[in-house]
Amino acid sequence: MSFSPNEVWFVTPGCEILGRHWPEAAAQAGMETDDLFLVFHTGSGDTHAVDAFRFFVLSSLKAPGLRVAELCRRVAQHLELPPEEFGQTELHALLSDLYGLGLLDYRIGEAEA
Amino acid sequence: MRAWQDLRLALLQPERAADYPLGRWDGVLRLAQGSLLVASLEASLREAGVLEALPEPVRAQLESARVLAEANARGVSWETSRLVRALSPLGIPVLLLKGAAYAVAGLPPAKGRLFADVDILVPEARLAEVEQALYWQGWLGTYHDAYDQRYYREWMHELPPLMHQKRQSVLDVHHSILPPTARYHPDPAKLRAEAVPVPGLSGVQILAPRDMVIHSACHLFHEGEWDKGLRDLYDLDRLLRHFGAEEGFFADLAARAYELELARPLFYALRYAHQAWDTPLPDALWPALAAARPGAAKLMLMDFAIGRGMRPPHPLARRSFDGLARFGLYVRGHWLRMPVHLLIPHLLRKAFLAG
Amino acid sequence: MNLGSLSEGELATRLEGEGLFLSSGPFIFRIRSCLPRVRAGLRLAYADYPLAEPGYADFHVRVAAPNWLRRWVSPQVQFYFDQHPPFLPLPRVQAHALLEWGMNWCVSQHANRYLILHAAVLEKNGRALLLPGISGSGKSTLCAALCYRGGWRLLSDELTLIRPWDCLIQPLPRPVSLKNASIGVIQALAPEVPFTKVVHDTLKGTVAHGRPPADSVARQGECPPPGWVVFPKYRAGAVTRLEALPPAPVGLELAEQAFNYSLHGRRGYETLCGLLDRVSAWRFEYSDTDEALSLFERLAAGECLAEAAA
Repeated sequence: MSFSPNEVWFVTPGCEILGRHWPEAAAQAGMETDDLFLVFHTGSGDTHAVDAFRFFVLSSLKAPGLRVAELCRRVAQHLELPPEEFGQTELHALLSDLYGLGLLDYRIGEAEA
Repeated sequence: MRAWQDLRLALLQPERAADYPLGRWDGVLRLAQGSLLVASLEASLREAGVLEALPEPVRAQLESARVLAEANARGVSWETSRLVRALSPLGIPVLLLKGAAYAVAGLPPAKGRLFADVDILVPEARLAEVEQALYWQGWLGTYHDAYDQRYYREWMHELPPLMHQKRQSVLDVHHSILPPTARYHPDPAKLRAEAVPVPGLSGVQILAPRDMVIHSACHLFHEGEWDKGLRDLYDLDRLLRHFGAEEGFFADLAARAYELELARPLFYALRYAHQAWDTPLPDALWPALAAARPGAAKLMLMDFAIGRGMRPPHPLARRSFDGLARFGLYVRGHWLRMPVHLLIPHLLRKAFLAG
Repeated sequence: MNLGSLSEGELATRLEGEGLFLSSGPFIFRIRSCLPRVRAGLRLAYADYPLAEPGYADFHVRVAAPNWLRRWVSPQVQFYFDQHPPFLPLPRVQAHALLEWGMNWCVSQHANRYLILHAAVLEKNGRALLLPGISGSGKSTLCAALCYRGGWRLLSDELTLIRPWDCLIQPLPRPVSLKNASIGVIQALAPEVPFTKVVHDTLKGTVAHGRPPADSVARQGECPPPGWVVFPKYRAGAVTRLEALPPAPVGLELAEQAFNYSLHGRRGYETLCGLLDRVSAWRFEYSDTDEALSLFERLAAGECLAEAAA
């Protein structure tokens, strides 16, 4: 899937994404490696269950938001990986999924100098 | 009738309801429920600071109504943000009407709103583009029946209601505030020209205060929903009290209504808001609206119909003939909008399908 | 004073006159009806319910024939919420069942100060057990077995009312609704429990209502904290099995099954999180009622059941 490098992704201004998880109880249920967050979007009022990685992405995109490249750098830093390990295309697909759930918005920003 | 007087007092002078005993609340809450006024009642009592003094079961019922009203306010504000997202690429502002406008602008009638439906006004010339843009963002038509589709497209001032396929929210897209077949023809361009932005919400507009009042009046006297008449008059009362406190608001209200060809509905709305809810109005307004006043015989008939139609539709508040009066108002709402040769088949069809 | 202390005549006078004012959970219902079937159902299922002071009710309900003509053509009854009939009329023989559904409808549609989940709920050792479950999961049968034989206090067999301000469960004990085969199962398990006459061919199949345990009704004001969420599944021949569930998906499922989760917005989400903080969540499969009862006994005793299986 192609995308514009000028896309800026963000959580709708004025809205928050709240998230909670229960690592101990999840571990007891044999889910320690796939701990899920229960997240709530204060704008839409919708609740979702997303994995820890997606929750990190959502938490990184508070308005005014980030371009995919910058988000990629932050993700790599968070996971302590070299930046090239993480593909922008995969990340963009994930952002599109979160957009489909109504958790994120995007706009086309100014071209970067 | 006692319960109706009690409810009226609780809305208008809430501090005087603080010592109603529990038994008195029984009728008040039933009437409020039937007239969609429970959340308004809650807001009124809360602002007066008397909620804590009320019997526990009453507080519980009021709190439940508040939960619903707040949910609707949140729903409207999210719908609005989605509309801005859908329409901003077209360069068309989201001009909100009625309840949604009250809600996003934090105007007093918003406090008891029970519906998350949204109404917007867009230029007729851009209707097709708007419908397309909304379609791509998930708003689809709900009326698939060919008769209803045709009825809306030919005779109405709005698209058939759209529903968002994910959120199930309902959106009415208007290009005018009255149908082209109506007897009055307010120019929607004049309304759009004076629309005002909503602070803090880019891309969102509401009608200017005078136009908002005039539109509320127009809606009240041209829509067939008299089961909600009392609460709509209450909304109008709240608006008038709010805007009326601003210097000069009433000065050219009448002139603007004449300009929009809506002086007659404004006359009625002010008259009956005052009768139902003691709305404070300056004396100078009546001479200014003299030309819009109907003849004595007609006014007597209207007073009769409205006076009864605007009590709650409940045996605790009913006098004989109330139902008849309400049906009369329903017919009248349609009569003002449609030519008779269209109206009679339409009413027959609705009556037939409902039965 | 309980409904059971009214004579037949006094009950009829109230039902046909100013109404019967009854406390069910935190609500006061005013019930009116001239139908003998409704009166009989109330006498049987509500004997232990406290009467409330006449004059105020949260819900004014009435079961009556829709009009004169229909009464003769095809005998039907209508449920009225104050003035308004929310459902289509039903055959007259279903009059009491209609009242039960109507009363539950009143709560589920109006009591929005509570977060209302679609789940049966019971209490033991001061903690509440939530049994969410779609129709056909065996939730009602399990709930009936637990309250009539397992010594659990019935809080509700249908509507779990959570108080968002303190996360406690507000009891709403109502007659226990059973359908189809489970009627026979529970009547065999608890033969001493009075049941309303079995009604066939309703929208929900064959139904009957059991009188809730007197203790559950007497303690309908005591609100316990939540302790367990168990999703039951009855499957013929299944081995009794309990399996721990991770909280986040459980939260999502409870939200989806709730009546009014979305109305509460952020507070609803926080209430749900508060619930998940306090409970352990399980999937439960069973076919043998006795085994199920002993497993829930161990759960109530606080045994560590992480390793599953009974």
